[in-house]
Amino acid sequence: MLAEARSAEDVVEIVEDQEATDMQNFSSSSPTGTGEPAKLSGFIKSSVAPIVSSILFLAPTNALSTDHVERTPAITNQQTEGYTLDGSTAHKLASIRERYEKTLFSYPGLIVDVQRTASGDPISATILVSVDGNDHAIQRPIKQIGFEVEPNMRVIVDGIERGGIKKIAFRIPAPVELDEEELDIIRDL
Amino acid sequence: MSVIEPIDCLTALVVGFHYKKPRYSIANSFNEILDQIQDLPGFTVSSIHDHELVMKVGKVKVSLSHQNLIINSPIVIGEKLHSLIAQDVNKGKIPIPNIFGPRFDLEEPIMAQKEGPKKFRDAFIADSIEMTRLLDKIITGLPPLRFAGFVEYYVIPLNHVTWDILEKFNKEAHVLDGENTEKRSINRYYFPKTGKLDERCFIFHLLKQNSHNAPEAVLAGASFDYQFMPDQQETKNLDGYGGAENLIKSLSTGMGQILARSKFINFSLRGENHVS
Repeated sequence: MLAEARSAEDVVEIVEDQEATDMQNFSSSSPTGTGEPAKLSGFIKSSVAPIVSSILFLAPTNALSTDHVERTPAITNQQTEGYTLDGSTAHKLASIRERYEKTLFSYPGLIVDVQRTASGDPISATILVSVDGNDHAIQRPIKQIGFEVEPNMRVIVDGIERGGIKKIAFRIPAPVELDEEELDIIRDL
Repeated sequence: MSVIEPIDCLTALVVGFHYKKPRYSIANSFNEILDQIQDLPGFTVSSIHDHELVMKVGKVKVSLSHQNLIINSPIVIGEKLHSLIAQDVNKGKIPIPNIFGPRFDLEEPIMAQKEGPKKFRDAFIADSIEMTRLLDKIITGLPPLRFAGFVEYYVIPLNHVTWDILEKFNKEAHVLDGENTEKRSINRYYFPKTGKLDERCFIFHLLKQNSHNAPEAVLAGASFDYQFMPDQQETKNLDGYGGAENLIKSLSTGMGQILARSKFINFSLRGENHVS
């Protein structure tokens, strides 16, 4: 993911409030555009949030240069709340997902043929769907299937309801982790 | 002073899925995605252009494009790490080596990490799993993957710990009377495909600024990027890995195993025994 080389020249700076006086002092000493680094003494009382109040994150700059240093806005209490699991985003996202789409049924399918253009681009596929032991052949455009398919490839055919509209969707079956006993049962079938 | 462990130096996380082929039609789902999640607390759209949607949901930043889906945490700093850094700040400024890359909002204040680094990681993984599941559903399946990766970023307080791997670059070079004041290094390790496991890649990025020219540069940075790279002959998407949860947890666990069995983040408190 990080295959591309990053700019290692940039640095982020943590600055300690040495005197912890007031914001006004900070504002009046604003040196933006003067080419001087920010004088940050006297920024932020640390009584409310002892960890973060003493940390200031500045714009990326060169480690060897004091130019182009920009000041950040004041750190608010909200920003000092930190990372929490309570009422997490994950829980809310999960409930949106459950509301968003319902799976009505799932049947195994086998790609038996892929129809292609003269140049070899796939257009549609014929899928053998096994519904309660009865095989049904259906043909669907590759666009609807949503991924590359090849003959003899196994898929799962889902009947889904999304926003009151029922339709068929396709997915690749997930690998199943079986223990030795389960594998023996399958081998005996 | 409490003993600092490597996990206490964890400052940011990223999870990413990079597609085998660009899928431009993903942009057609941007409105649907926004409709579904716009009411979540902390939701903001950073940008929509060039087939890419960048948004913040809760504490995570999400970038969805025709080429990849990348989710990153904010940059945070833990209590233990801060307590050590705080001892150095009388000098005024402490530059943190920027190993974080363009995905992070460097202009934003660093967040506190009140619950400890392990919970920070767990929360990020939970958010990433659910975000990936939801997006996967709305765009009717993420495309087949070229590779998927998980990245951890660390900041090492060099005034207080001796980082073995960094020390070796100095000592083992045997440069008489010379001191290694700056170190930038990217190391890639490949693990071949074995059984069910894909080919994997582990990228270690080390950055220590030039302490000769910047004496206040007492922090070093490290990032660890662990990737699954499916065989390009096969079609493997999220379902091929057993879903978002399996894939992200496998990446995180695999990363942890490599770090535990290696000496990448072995360090000791200055003058004390090893911590790893």
